[in-house]
Amino acid sequence: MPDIGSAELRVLLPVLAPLLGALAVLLTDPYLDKGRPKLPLVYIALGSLMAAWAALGFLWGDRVVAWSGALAADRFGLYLGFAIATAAGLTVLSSAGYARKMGVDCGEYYSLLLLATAGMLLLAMANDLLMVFLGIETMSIAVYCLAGITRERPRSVEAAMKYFLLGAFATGFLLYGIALIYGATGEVRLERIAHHAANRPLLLAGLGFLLVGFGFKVGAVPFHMWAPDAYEGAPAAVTGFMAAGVKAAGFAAFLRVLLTAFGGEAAAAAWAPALWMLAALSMIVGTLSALAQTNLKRMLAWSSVAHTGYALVGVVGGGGVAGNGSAAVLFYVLTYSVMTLGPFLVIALLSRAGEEFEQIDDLAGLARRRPVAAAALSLFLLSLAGIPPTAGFMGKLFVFRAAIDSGWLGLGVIGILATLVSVYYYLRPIVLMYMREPRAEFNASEPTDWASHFAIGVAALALLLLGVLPSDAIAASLESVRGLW
Amino acid sequence: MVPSFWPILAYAGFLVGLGGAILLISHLLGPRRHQRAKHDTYECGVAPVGTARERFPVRFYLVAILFVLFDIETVFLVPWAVTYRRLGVPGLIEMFSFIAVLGIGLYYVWRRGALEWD
Amino acid sequence: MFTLTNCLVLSALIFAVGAYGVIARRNILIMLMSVELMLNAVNLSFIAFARYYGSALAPASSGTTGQVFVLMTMVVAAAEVAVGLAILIALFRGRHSVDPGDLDLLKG
Repeated sequence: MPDIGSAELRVLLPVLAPLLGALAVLLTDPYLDKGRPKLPLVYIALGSLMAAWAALGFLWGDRVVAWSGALAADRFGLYLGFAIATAAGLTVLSSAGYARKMGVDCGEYYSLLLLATAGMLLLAMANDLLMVFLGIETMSIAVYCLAGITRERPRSVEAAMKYFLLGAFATGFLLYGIALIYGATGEVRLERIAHHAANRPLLLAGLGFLLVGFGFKVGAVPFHMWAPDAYEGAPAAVTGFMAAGVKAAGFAAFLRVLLTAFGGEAAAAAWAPALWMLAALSMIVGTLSALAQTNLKRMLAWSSVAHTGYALVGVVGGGGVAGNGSAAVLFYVLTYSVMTLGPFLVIALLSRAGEEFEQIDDLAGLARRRPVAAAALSLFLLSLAGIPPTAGFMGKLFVFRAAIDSGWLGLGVIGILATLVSVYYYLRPIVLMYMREPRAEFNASEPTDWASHFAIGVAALALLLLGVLPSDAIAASLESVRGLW
Repeated sequence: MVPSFWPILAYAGFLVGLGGAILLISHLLGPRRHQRAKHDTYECGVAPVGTARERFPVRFYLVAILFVLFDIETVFLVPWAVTYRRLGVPGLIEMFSFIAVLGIGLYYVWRRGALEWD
Repeated sequence: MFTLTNCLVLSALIFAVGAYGVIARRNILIMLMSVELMLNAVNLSFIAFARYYGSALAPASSGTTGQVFVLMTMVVAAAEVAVGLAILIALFRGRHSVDPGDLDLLKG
């Protein structure tokens, strides 16, 4: 009988907090009045996410491995854990008003949000392939439901269906990959897999399937087909959470598996060329497709595909223990999760009852009617474009430099070219907001949604801080990667 | 492996052959009379009402899916029961918290009225 | 008959049938069933490997991991199919079709 000591419970705390929150939401919801805003659920959700945050902070330090090596509380997982918990918290803040507007102010919404967060945190700390699988599935199944939670909107249900079908398909590949790796080594613990020679065909086949599965989950070309539809159809607050949280958790697990289980020279030589292709294709296809979009959410979806490519540049150019690439990926995904969540928070704020505010043309003259929202959206878009002094610039600089330093010049050049092209589609909405006369009515008459404004403010402030004073976050990311070995 | 398998294969082959032969002989020798009743879902007993391709109310789906979910969770109970003694009190606590989580789910489903038939 | 290789080949074949079904069939219900087929094919692999590692053939390694994986996969697959069917019913109420080709509201 494995001893259930205090280390076990401590490591589990960040996952337990949102899980217990979700249960509390389910127990509370039936006692609340139907017609009134369900603020207690928001408080429970926020409280449990703050508890998760505190637990992550409490664990920050030396590597603690528990549950027979299944979970690892180390800085590597906790670093993106902070990004996940923050994204979830901001989503809840924005949902307090948004969920009511969309008619989904119910227990399911908040409990699914918390369950997805629990899955993401589990994924970020997963140290064996079983936990990776459980984390991915807990997260994905909850997010499929969230994407279709506005059942009255056909597009939301369609997005959920497409996301579900391709997600479940990807799960099959991921699981098959895990099975082959288990078959080749007899192990599912990441650091034990590393002890086996990587040149065995069975192990390489497993790695290949695993890459396909993870490629789907993080939305890398050519496994990205679900992303534009799922992002466009899902309700805006959920889309933001998907874009930020799912990607952060996916990259945390992806990177940990590659570095810990397949970090050796021989294994890295096998996956680096494959990821090179994924990175290059993601940057090129994502950027070019985003150019043609008229729907803001869809444009951001393609942009997220491109950003997956940028992050993969860092994975390829990791440079092992000595290199900065892996740390650059952590920092990049951290900044990306904040700057991609931001625009969706603004869309959620501007949406009217049952109707999403998502056409780029509708932004015309927004600066006149809603100056704060317009300014925040501009900041987020500038950061996505990678313009200094925002966090997006620091992230791209860090990733591209790490890749070029470790000899992946071609990838760095593609990345820089894609970034230059992307400036066009990120600037177009800003030009519309500031240079055009207002066309659409904005819902200025409604009472101000302070919680939503607060969430947008926090995201904007975080981006500026990470852009102007990035040294602490970068140092922490470097420590996080060192802590893995 | 192989020698012990041959009798089974031979037996299977014999069975298929026998079945085929019986069908063939009755097809060749048997008289054929076509009647309406022969094309019914059941040739004897109560006359069928309506079509078999009827839509079932979605309530059946809801109950069925809830059944599947709660049913499959027992998969975890069996290994626990097998190793009950070795797992001891911590195992008991873990299993009870697992069941408690399921119970909360059931409670929510119940309170939301998903178990009401009408 | 039940050698490791045979089980793996069967598993790979079933997996391929499932993957083909998801890609080629034009009915969401059948696509769902194909996904289940893929997951159960993987379960077969897990069981085969677990038996291999549990037997004397393999060096000191335990076969229970593979069995635990199968249990987890079964539960996850059940949860997944429940969610998939729920989404399908929500979809069917809106447009009375289970053809993925009719999912054409989101394009661009």
